Amino acid sequence: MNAPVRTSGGAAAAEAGVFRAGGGTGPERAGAWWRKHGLWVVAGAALAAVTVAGLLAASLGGRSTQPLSITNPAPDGAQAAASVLRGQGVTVTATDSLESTLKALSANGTGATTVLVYDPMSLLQPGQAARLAGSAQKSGAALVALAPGPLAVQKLSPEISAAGTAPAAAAGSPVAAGCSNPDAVAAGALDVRRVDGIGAAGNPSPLLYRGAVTCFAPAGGTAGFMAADSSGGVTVVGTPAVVSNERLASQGNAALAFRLLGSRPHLLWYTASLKDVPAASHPPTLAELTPRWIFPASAWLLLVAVIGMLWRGRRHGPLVAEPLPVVVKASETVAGRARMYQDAHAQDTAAAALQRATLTRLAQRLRLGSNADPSAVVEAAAAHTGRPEQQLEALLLTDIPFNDKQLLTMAAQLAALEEEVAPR
Amino acid sequence: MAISGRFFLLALLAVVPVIAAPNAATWLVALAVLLAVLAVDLALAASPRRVAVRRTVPTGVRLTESTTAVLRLANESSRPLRGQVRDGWQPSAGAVNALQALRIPAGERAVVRVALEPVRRGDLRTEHVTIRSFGPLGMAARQKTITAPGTLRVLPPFHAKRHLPSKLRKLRELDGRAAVQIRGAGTEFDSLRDYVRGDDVRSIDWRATARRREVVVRTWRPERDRRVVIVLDTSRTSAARIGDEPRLDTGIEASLLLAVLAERGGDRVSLIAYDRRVRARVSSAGKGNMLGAMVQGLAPLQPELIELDTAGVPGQVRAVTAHRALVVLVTSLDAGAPEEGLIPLVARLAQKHVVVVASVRDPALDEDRLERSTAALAYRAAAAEHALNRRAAITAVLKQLGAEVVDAPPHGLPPELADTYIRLKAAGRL
Repeated sequence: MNAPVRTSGGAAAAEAGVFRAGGGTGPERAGAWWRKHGLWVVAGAALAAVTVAGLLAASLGGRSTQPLSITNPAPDGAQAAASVLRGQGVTVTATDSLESTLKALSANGTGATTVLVYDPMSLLQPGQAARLAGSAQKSGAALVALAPGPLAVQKLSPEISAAGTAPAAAAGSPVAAGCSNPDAVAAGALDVRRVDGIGAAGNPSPLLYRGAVTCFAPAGGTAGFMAADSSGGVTVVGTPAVVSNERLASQGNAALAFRLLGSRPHLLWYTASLKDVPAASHPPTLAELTPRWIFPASAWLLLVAVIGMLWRGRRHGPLVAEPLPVVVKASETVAGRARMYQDAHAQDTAAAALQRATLTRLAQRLRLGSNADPSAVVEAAAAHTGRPEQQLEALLLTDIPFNDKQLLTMAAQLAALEEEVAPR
Repeated sequence: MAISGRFFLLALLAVVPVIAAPNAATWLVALAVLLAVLAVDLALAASPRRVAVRRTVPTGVRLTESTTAVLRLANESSRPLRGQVRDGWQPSAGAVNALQALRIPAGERAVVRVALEPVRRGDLRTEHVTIRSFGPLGMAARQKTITAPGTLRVLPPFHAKRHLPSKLRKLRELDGRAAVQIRGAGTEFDSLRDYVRGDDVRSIDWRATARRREVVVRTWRPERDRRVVIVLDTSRTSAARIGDEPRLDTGIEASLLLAVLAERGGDRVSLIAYDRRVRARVSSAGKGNMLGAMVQGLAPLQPELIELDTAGVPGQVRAVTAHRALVVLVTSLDAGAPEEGLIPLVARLAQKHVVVVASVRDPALDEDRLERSTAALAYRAAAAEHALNRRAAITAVLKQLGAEVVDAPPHGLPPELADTYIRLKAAGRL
C-alpha cells in the first residue's frame, strides 16, 4: 500500500467492499436518466410549446388595441366599419404614416380613393396636413378627417374652420342633419355620444366646425359636427366615435360613415403615428445617448451572472438527510398545566397543590412521618414557629383563594412558612 | 457536469472584447469560445464513473471523541484524475473535511482521510461518495455520485466513568480486599484469621479461639454470582429532555456504571432495553468484554414513541434468569397512569426479586416550585408542586411494595444508583 498500486483493467469485478458507479451501458443510463427526469422534460417542453403557441396566436391574429384601428374588435375599434366596407367591395388599407398614405394614394389612380385621416395625438404638422390635402386634390380623392385640430383643418380646406368643442349638453342626444348635404340628409340624425378611448388627446369632447356646408348643428348653434367644403372633396367629422364599433349601428351613423367612406373603390385608413414626426424634432432617445457597447456588454454580463449561479449552485452530490430523533423538553407538561390552571382561573386547585406540598415537607422537617395527620402537622408547626394555630390552619388547610392576587399572597406565605420551619 | 470559478472568470474577462467590438459577431464568437472550452475540458476529463471506492470506517467511537474514516479511491481510467471528492456523511457525523481535493494518476490509487467529530450517539451513516473530475484546463468537470454506504457507530460517552474509581473502592471495602474489615459487610463466610488490633470484637469467633491459642476473628465477604437485571425503558417517556440530554441517555449512563460495578463486584449482569419489543439485550454470562458488548448494544437505541408494555417486563426478566435477582427498572415515575403500569409491575416483580426503580428527576421542577413572584409563576409553582406531589405519592407506594426508589437529577442518577446497589449488596439483600 505504500507505493501506488497499478490495477489491471479487467480484474475489477465485483469485489466485496468495493463500490463502483452503477448504471450499466450507455443506453441503460440514458433510460435511467429519462425515467428520472422525463416528466420534467415533458412538462417543460409542454410549457414552452404553449407559450410559443400563445405568442404566435397573439401576433398572427393581427389584433390591435389602437382606438379606431380597423383590426380592433373592441368597442373603441373600427373593425365593424372596415369589414362592412370590404364586404361591399371597397379595398380598405390601413396606413400609419403620411409617406405611405401618399404613396398608396398615387398608386390607386385618379378619383378612385377615399382617404380617412385620424390624428388622435395631434402629431400632424399644418404643413403635412396641407401636403395631404394637396395630394388628395391632385388625385381627385375624397378626404374625410375625423376631429382634426384647428390648425390642421385650415390647411385641409380653407373653407372649413374649427368652432371649438361641443357643449356637454349637446353631446347627449341625437342631432338632426339640418343641411342639404346628401350624405347628411341620408343619415338623418347622428348619435354623437362619445366612446371611452376615442378622441383627441386631452380633449375627448366632440368638436364643432363651420364650412361651406355645415351639418348636424346642435340646437341653437351655427357650427356643426360635420362640415364639408363646397366641392365635397373634403369632409370633416367632429365625432370620431361615429365609425366606432360601439356607435356604428346607432341612429344614422352607419349611413353617414358608409356614404362618406364607401363611395370610391379604395379606402385609405390613415392613422397618424410617431412616424410622422420629423426626425429633427425627435428628442434623442435613450438608445442614442448610451454608448453602443452597453447593450451587448450588459447582455454578456447577464450570461456571466447565470454562469456564476451555475458555478456556485452546483452541489457536490445529493443532500444528506439527518434523521432527527424525537426529544421533548420534560418541563413542557408542567408549563402546560400551569397555563391551564391560569386560563381556567383554577386558583383553588393550584392552592390545594401548594398546600399539600408544603404540608408534606413540613411533616418531613418536623419529623412526623409521611402519613401524618394534617391537623397534627399544623399543631406542630404552630408550636415550632410560635404562630397562632388558627392562622396556620387557615393557611395550610382551609383557605381558598378567589383571585390571582390572593393566590400569590398565599403562595408567598406558604414559602415563608417553610423557610421559617427549615432546619438550621 | 459542473463548472469552476476559473470558467466564471474566463466568462467575465470575455466582456472586454465584447465592449471593445460591440456587435453581434463578437458576442457570438465569445460564446462559441466559451462553449468550446467547456466541451474540450469535459471531453478530456477522466471519467469519474471509472473510480472504485473502498471504505474503511472505524468500528466504534465514543461520543465527544473524534475519529478518521478512510476512503481508498482507485482511478481505473487511462487519464489522470484531478478534482474533488466529497464523502456524504450525515451532518451529525461532523465530517470536518468532507470535501477534499483529489489528484490520482491514471490507474493508481489514493487514500482520502475524513476526520469525523460526531455530535450524536447512534448509528451515523454515509450514503455516497461524489467525485468531480476536472479537465486539464480546470474549467469544467464531470461529476458522478457513487453509492457507497458506510456506518459509524457512535457509542454513549459514559461520562459516569469518573465515578467508577470511588465506587469500586467502596465495593472492595465490602469485599475484604481493602485494609479495613467491616463486620457485617456481607453474609457469606469467608475465612478465619488472627485478631489484629482494631478489629471489631464482635467478629471474634469464640469457638475457633477456644481451639487455638490466639484470638481468631471471622471475616465475611459479600455474596457473589448474584444476578442483576437492568431493564432500560425506551418508550415515549424516555424521549423527554431533562437538563441537556434525553432521559434515555441518562438511563444509559446509569446502566453502564451499574453494570461495570456489578461486573467487578462478581455479579452477573444482564441488560434489556425494552418498550414493546426488546431493543437490545446484553448478558455478561458470555465471555469477553461485557462493557464493550453493552455500549455496542446501547449505542443505536433511540426513544420509541410508544407506551411501555409493562405486562411484558416480568416475562423478559424470567427469560434472562429463573432465579432471584436484583431487577433495576430505569424508567420514569411520571408516566401517564402508574396505577395501571408501573405499580402493578413493581408489585409483581417484588414478589420474587429485589426491585430498584431508577428515575431521572427534573431539576427544573425544583426551581419552578420556589419561583412565586408573579401570578403566572405562582401557577407554574403550583403545577410543579402537583408533579412533585404525584411523584412523591408514587414513590411512597413503590416503597410500600418493597422496592427501592432512586429519584435523582441527571448528573446524580448514575452515582446514586451505584450507591443503592452497594448498599443492597452490603446489607446482603441480593
